[in-house]
Amino acid sequence: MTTRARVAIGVIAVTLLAVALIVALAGGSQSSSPRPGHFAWLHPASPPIGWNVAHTSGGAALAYPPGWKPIESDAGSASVALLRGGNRIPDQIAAYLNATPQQGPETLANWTHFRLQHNRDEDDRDVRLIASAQDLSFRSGRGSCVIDDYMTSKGSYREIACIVSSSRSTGVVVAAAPRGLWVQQAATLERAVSTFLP
Amino acid sequence: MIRTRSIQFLAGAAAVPIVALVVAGCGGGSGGATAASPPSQTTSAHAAKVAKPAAKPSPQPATTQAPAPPPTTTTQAAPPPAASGIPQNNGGDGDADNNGGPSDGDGDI
Repeated sequence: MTTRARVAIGVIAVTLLAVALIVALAGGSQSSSPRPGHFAWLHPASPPIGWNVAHTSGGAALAYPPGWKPIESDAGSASVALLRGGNRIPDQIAAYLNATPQQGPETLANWTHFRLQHNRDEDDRDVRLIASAQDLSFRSGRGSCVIDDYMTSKGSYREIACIVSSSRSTGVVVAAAPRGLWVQQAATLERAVSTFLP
Repeated sequence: MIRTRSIQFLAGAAAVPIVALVVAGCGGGSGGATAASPPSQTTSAHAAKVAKPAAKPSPQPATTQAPAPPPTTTTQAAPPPAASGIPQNNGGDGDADNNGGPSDGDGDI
């Protein structure tokens, strides 16, 4: 074999190796995308014009659409809901938003496990993880989110629950709706989560 | 002379994918840096960790609606969390998640 032939074979081998590595790297970075499919809706943005904003005692901002009402909530937190017909608040809730300052051991790193366990600790049943992601971008920081289903004594819900950490503080935002209304309410809930400031 | 040119040409051709590989490697590195940022432990968070909120106090002052753009804000004038756990199952302060409603974002308290 001539020197030229050897060089040509070497070049082809290097080229093939490089192409294979590029393909592998491209695939790898895709799988670690910071905004995976279930969270593709997350586009940090200011609240739409006309929306209201409720604040927690820590200063977190929870935006909600016109027509939604503040409802009873834990001290220091803020909850609002879109209400429908029914006798009491839990039955009336067609969609729900809550903002709560970080209170316990919840962190961005343990969020998926923490949130699902938290729901089980609240005696929710059939808690089922739909999706989770870390290192998501929010308006003022990074966050971890889960989407999950669970059943309470009054009905089944789907929720988006995120913990968001900024340089100022860490807070949790929850957006939920009865399973039967999720498709109808999802876009509004997702938009509210996208505007959250912890 | 011809052989030298050919080798130079082939070496140049090989350099292109290698450069591309380097660039892709850099891009992959930044995209892969998705490790969750450590949570910023605020003073209030530490305090809350030690002292759990008391029996969820009174109802929150209502958030007023201010429809004019840009969105107006209102402040929930609730007191900071005090100590003790929050009863669930139709107990506590009677908010939605104590009564079969959606679960709120409390810190497992």
